[in-house]
Amino acid sequence: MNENILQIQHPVLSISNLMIAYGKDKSAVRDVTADVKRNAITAIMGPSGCGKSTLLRAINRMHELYPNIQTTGDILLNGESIYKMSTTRLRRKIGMVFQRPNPFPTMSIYENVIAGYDLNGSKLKKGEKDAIVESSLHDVGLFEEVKDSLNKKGNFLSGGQQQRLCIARALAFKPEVILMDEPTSALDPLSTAKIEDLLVELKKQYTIVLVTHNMSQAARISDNAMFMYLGELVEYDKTKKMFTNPADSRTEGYLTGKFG
Amino acid sequence: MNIKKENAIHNIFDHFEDYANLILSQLSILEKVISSGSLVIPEEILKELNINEDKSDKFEVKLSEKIVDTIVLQKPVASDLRKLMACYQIVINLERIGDLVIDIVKFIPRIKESETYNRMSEVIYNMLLVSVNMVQKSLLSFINSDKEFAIWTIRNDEVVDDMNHKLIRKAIGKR
Repeated sequence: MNENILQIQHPVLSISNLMIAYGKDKSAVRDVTADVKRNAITAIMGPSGCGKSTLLRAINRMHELYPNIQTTGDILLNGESIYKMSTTRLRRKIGMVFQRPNPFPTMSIYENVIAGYDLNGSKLKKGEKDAIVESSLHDVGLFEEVKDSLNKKGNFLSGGQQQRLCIARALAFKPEVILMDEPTSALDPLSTAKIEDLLVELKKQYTIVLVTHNMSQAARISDNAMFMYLGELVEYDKTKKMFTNPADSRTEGYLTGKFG
Repeated sequence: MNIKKENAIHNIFDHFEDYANLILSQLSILEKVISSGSLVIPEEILKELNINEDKSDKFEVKLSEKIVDTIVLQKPVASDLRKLMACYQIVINLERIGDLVIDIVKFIPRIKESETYNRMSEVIYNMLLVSVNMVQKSLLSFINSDKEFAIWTIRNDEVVDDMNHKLIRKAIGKR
């Protein structure tokens, strides 16, 4: 057992011996075993091509959209294998936010938030929908800014507001885990700061797993951090420990900018 | 500034003020001991000083760690970084002041010639008063960014030096 891997009691996610390859020769994730702590922000860091986005997408089986993907190992969500759930049910419990804000362009702000329910054919009363929209937009600090424009399309919103709308859309299902793939890399510094503050607030209710190439961001907001290199999980520890006293020289090399 | 960074920096300066108050209370106890002129230190005063000294050592370790963690994790801007580094250096010196208080208190009962001590105790007491005042004002100058207090402290260093020279001349002259 790798001594550089954090031990967590009652994790929300348990990743066991996960191996993912694109076809026969392209191994993206090699034998990763890790537990993710509930109500915490876990950052996945590493140089380009290290497998961090592949690992993230595997958590809600988004990686299966790629052709010729081969996966072995298991991921448990609250003790239940994600491979025994339907992807619809899984993705309600594990939401995802992508790098580029992607509100649905033909839908209004209101429709964007409630889109998951509508697209799945869920029959909700107007009052229920209103409550979900208001609650989700409040959670991301966007409600006051857009309450008079809920029926407008979201394209008048700034990049940061659009990303918050996407987060609200993910929150509408009250997921257990939110996956974020470099959620602020396309945003300006002020919007980035607002999203970071939002994540620190959201972790009180949700578990957040965040891929970032921005080490400072990982240091600022995450509770635990994973360092991946060439598909391998090299080190996984409390962020403070990893940044002040990394156990592995590769981690130290990456954090001090020697490579990556 | 993000919330976590803001809270981390606030937390450090709150703890710093608590530490500063602890050391000032140690100095205040020392003032009472010296002003009494007695070579016997009451047991309860020794106990209080030792308890505070333990707290002081723990404060120094905890604060130093917090400062390093904040610098590494939060990457404070230059102005905050300078303040944090100054805080770090002051914390180390506060811990030394705490140690010196205990050293002085331990030394007093070992003075054999009470007459000599009594003769010099006024100068010693005055030196202590000025030194304590300097510590107070230097801490206040840092906490409140008060330039006047900083200048006063620097100037009074010479006053304490003069008193020290006077004391040495008095001690040597007697022999």
